[in-house]
Amino acid sequence: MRATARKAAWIAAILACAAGAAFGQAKMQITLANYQIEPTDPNGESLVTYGAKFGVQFVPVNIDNNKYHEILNLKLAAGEIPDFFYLKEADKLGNYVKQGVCARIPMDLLQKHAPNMLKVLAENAPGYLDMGKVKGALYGIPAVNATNAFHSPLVYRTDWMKKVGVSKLPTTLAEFESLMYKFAKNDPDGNGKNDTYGLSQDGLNAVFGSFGLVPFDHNSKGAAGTDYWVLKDGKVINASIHPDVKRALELMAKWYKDGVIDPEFITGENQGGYWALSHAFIKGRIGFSTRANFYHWAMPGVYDDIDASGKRIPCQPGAIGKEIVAADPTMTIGFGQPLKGPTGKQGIKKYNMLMNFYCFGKQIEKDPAKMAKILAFMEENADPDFVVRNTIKNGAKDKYWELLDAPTETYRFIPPYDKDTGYVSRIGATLLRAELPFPLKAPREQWAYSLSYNKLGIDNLIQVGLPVATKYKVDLMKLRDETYISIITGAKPLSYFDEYVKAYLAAGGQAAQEDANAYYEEMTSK
Amino acid sequence: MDHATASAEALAGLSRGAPSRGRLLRRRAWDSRYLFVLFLPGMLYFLVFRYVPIYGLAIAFKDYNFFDGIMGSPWVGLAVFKEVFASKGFWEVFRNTLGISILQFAFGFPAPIVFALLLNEVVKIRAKKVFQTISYLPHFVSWVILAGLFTQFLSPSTGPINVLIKALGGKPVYFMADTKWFVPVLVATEVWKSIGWGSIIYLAAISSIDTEMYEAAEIDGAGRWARMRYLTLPSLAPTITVMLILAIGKLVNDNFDQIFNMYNPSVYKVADVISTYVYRKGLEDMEYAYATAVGLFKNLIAFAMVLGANKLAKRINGNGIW
Amino acid sequence: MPSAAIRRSGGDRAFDAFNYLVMILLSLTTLYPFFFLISSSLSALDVTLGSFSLLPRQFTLENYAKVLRNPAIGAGYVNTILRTVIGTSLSLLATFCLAWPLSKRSFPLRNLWTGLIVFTMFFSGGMIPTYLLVRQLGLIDTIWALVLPELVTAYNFVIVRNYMQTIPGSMEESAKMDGANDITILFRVILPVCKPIIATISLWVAVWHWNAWFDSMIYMTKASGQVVQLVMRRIVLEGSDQMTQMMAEMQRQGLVIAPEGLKAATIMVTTLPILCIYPFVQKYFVKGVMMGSLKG
Repeated sequence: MRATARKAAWIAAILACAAGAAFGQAKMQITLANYQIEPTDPNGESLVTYGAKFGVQFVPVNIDNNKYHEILNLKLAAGEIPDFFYLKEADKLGNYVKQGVCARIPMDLLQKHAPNMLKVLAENAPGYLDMGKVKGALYGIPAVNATNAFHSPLVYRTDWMKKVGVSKLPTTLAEFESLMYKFAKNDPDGNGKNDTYGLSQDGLNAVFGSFGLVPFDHNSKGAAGTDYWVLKDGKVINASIHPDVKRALELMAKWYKDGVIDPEFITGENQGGYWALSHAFIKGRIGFSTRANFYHWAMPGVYDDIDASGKRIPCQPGAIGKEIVAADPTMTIGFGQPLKGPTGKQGIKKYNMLMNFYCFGKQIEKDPAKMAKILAFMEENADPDFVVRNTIKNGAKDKYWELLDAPTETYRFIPPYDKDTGYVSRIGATLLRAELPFPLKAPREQWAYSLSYNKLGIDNLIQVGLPVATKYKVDLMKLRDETYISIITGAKPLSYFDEYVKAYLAAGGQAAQEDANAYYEEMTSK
Repeated sequence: MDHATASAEALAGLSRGAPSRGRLLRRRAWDSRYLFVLFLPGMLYFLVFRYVPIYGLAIAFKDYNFFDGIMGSPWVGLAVFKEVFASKGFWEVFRNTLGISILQFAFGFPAPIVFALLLNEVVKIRAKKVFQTISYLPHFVSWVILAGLFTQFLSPSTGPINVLIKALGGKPVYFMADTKWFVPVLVATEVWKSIGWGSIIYLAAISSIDTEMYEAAEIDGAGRWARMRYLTLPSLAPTITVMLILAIGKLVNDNFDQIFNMYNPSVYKVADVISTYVYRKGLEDMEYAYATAVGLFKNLIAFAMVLGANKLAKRINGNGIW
Repeated sequence: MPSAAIRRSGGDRAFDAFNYLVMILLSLTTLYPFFFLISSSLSALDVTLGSFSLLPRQFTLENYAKVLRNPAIGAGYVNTILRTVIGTSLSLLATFCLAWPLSKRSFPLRNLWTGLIVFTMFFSGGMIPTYLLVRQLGLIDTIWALVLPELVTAYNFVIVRNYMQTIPGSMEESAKMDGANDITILFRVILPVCKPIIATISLWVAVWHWNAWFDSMIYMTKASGQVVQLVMRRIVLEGSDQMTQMMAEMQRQGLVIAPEGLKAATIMVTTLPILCIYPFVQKYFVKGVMMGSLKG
């Protein structure tokens, strides 16, 4: 009771302050467009609370996240540039700067108003702030996905391994090959039919990874996917034309011919619905996959979670784990390490840690006061105190969420908000979020560390979109996909790869490569 | 009233110079004064909502950027078109669009007419209503869902069609990834999805046929086939003509939702079409000028084809869209 | 009907058998996706795609209960019904009023006007200027932003106009003799004989309005103004796009995705009402033929 009364008094005080400010002078308005699950109420609790705290009025610009860039572009074209907006697709920063809608963000302002943010970025994601620079000037503050520090999982059917008499998870490409052949040929599901395969589309990444390469990644349907750049003899080249890709394709073509690769790998392991699911794996067609993230594959109890009373309990299954339990309770899985390849390389795909950019509208370039206010709420997201930063991200503590375990920063949502994912957007909390790379300490991530999944992931040399590369990207990736598929399925001979490299360079790849090298030199010269 | 007449007079005077014709027009305009009242709001709508925004087409001739806007961005003449036509990628998808559209037109245009004719011959009223209602259901299921269902249905290993092929001793067909089969799959699924919905307009036309004519035909001993061939089909001719002309205008269009949800890299060669290509380009590159130029080019062709078809139709049976 | 049955010849019977076979086969295939959706909407277990059975796995109505409890669905419904009713009636009124004068050969500059309208079927300014116009007219966040931009389409106009041109002039002339003006004639004489085409166009327009969501996404900036299809889209698309989902999972760990059954139930709830209007307009499509076969 007393606590409630005190809280009420507190709120009243804030409101009084806010009202005073409003009477004194018209409050500064700041329009916000950010990640949203549902539209935000203009009087959403978080907007009002933090508006009062920073002495401004936050105005939501509701943009459906499914069509974010389409609608944002429309608003920008109509001259409605939000004061603060995020770029859902980080590789578009250069384009938006070129369109003249982003404000330059002065470094001294950052140092003055957001020291914690700079510190977190510098300590946990060195170099990422520089990715927000275009021609030397900062236009975007990076949102860094700390979870992507963990590489793709290498998941094996251990029950199948037992059936075919292999006890050790493969560590080299040779061991891997032998196991895949056994999965395909030795009837691991014991149904007497020749209806199993070693691997499908996502599994190919393990093979490319053993050559130290990530030549392709389709992260969204329809999108061309992420460009992966690697160093070859001191020069930056697109991973898809690296000569070692040819060796990997040779192997794959052989496996395809021998029935080790699922012939339906072309339409992918996922058949719709939730993107992370590998239906081919869940339904027992294949015995190996690298799809999605490690946590999707968590089986019940694979690590210890923390419950509401702070006790250790077996964890809930991840999205794929749940499906596996429902589809085939006898299925067991094991997590392997990236494979060592014939060239001595060892690695596997890792998603870009650079997720989004936070940008400021061009109109506030000459308005340091407004910039300072925006940086102030971003800085709140960088607060060393977990409770402070989780409050701006998820709303008031003990109303929407409760802290379970302070050292590991484990919290849970209080019912009904555990099922109601949209509330954070309705109250406006998601509009005030800035994702920063704090070290992950929760049990789930502890498990990933114990698997060493933070090691041996292949970093993409250039994570931002380069203007020239972007221009030719669609045509080049189409060329790449057609080439790879036709070589693997045997429609084209392996020698076709050399033609592909030539065609790639001729169709804009050369220009893209020069662009990439210029950018790389600029970034590394400092 | 006065206002309508005045504007009609003004327009009449503006477009035709000769006084005698002008007077004739004025006379006709006065006779049509009530019609003008009906006509004005609709025409005004077209002027405001369709003609005011048309300046947006200028984007195709500009180095468009958001900050300067449509009017402020610098003109670049035909540079954007040159870029479009110079790229090999564009012509490939243009060819694919035409190929798929022509096939979908060849099968998809007559299918609803045949269906409407057959449905018309179902004697039991309740059966007719049930068949009709069921046939139009797929129109309401989005391609996102259908694509998933078709992928399973046509799967080389588990899909019922391939299970049947295998049972009969054949080799399974990977319909979704085989360049020879993918376009037929696109055509068949599109025809299937739109056959019921597309037949509505023809059923409406059939329903306005004078029922006495059916009775007379039946008294004359005309069989079902003859009735369909010599009575129903000719009565549909005006509707078919109009729908045909409109359909010809859609030959350069493609069904984005269908193809986007069904295709994959191994069939790009035959199935990557203008809309999917421009979409991917737009996602990567935010090429407004490129998309506008492609749209303009496409619509010029469509416009020309419709004009041609209209002229032809008028010469053949006097029906046209204007 | 009995008399018709008696007089049917052998050829007719073969034709009927074939016809029914075609109809039944087609119906079975077109019902399949709906059965799939209904079955998964009634399943408690998350049916892994591909292991499809016609019967729900662990029957439950919980998915429907959840959908109907969602407050956004209710608010969306109100907006959708409103735009469909207002939009369809105004569209019909505008289309028919415009088509009637332009179907008459005597109307001054008829070909110019028709040409101007047909031109818009192919050439439009695109999204950006239309958005600017709607904003300048002050229509943002009003129902008119969903109704006016697509009020009359050239396509529907052409179809209506051509239908009207097939109406015999004699009907109109006798009404004129009675001293009726053109407006009275349209509503009293012409529209009654246009029932089948009115039914067709209203079905087209109503279904278009019901399914439209993109304009709501652009023009309705408040949660309270959004149409039900937009709410449905959000639920159904949840988790399907990797980029978006990786972001969502970065922002909220252990995120629970709506199960496929809930998505299917949402689709059913938002689709069924519009399916139900069909039987109401259907009588205008089968009427003429019905009489013919009845009297046979």
